Amino acid sequence: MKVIIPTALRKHTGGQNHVSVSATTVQDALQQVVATHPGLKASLYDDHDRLVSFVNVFVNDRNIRDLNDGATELSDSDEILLVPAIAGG
Amino acid sequence: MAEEGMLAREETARYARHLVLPEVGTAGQGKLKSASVLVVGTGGLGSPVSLYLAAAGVGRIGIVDFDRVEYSNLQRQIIHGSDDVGRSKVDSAAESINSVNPLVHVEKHDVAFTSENAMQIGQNYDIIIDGTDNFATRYLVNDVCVLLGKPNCYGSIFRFEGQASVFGLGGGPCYRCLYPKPPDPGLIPNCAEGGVLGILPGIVGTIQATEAIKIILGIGDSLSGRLLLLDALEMKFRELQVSRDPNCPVCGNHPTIQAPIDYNQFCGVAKQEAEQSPWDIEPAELKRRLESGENLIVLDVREPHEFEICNLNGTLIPLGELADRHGELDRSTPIVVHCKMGGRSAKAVQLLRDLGYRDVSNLNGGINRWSKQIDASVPTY
Repeated sequence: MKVIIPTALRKHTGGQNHVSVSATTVQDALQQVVATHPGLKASLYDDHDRLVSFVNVFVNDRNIRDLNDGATELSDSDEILLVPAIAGG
Repeated sequence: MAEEGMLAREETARYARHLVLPEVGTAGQGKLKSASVLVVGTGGLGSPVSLYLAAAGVGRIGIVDFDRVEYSNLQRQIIHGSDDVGRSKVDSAAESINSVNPLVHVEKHDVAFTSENAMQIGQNYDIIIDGTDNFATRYLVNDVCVLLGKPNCYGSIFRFEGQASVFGLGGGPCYRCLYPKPPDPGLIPNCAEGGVLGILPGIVGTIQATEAIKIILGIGDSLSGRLLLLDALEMKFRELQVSRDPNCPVCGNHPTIQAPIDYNQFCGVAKQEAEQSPWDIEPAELKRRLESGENLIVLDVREPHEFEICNLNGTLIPLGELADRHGELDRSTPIVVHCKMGGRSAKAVQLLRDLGYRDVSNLNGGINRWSKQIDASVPTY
């Protein structure tokens, strides 16, 4: 399955717009992404290893906060989106 | 003179394509004429928003901006022209709006939108449009909309990506429900630092204007409860669900925010020329040290494309690469770090000091302040 990387975080993935992972939960998927691209960790997790609140994680069109957070289960066809706050205007 | 909401002959001709739409018609055009919209920011988003609302016949449009038109605005802020450079943005924008539609009443607010004036200004309008360019003002617009019970037609942009939604409409979610807290300053670059495709605010701004017009007319399905994401490179739109957070501090079941707060503090924004790092140095001090012939590394932590625009002949290592590439620096030589305005370099100073570099300072205000105070031949951007 694909984890879609937004423009604002692509500097940590060498410019790649997605990272492919094989995971059963959102937490697994994000851990795999951070393991292969360690620069992402500071943008996704705070000092207590909690997901930061200015990046929302969606599975397809649903926010994991409305599902089961990191424990949200995934299937192969799911798309995971990282959606950071942006402020430009 | 036609009565409020009634259309004069000139208006019938002007709005003919609306009048033949059953979803608008004379009644809808009358609603537009009676409506008032506040556009906060007359930049990339505010430009198309204001022009299209004017063209559509929204009767009263308020525009808020404290800034002046600069050349670097013209690549996307189509409400301003080359002859407007140096003018106040609200003067320039008001002129363009009235040129498109002289029947529209424009109210100019040539001030920064702040916690002190936002409620007063916002209360006089039916809808507020967030066309701002920073997190502090976005949270202010959101909170004011919720507190006043006004819908917030939201849009924001970064490089090739855009977001749009409607917040605070009926029982729908607000911006804080989606993003409870802003990122630390400098973590997500703004348009000045990160760049933006000039056409992008044209797409996102017209979506915001569309939502405002739909709300006024009471037609269609609002973007409330949905976040629209646009990737202009892929030309792909994604639609995500947004829920109201019952624990939201401003629109939740037990709100703790009952008046605008200090948003600069909330967003960790330092006042201009205030301390950016505990190891700040002034531009004048860097000049003195360079002229004294001191062995000194000037470290530029901006991106390569920014370095091409202007530089101080420094060593270029972008902030995002510094953790991997700091070994290229000589630990025994004093380092002065700079970026564009001082935010990224302050982070770099902290990073290097955490890595054991002892003599590292931050050029307060970055190369832009250097240009203003020391060497005007260095272009600002």
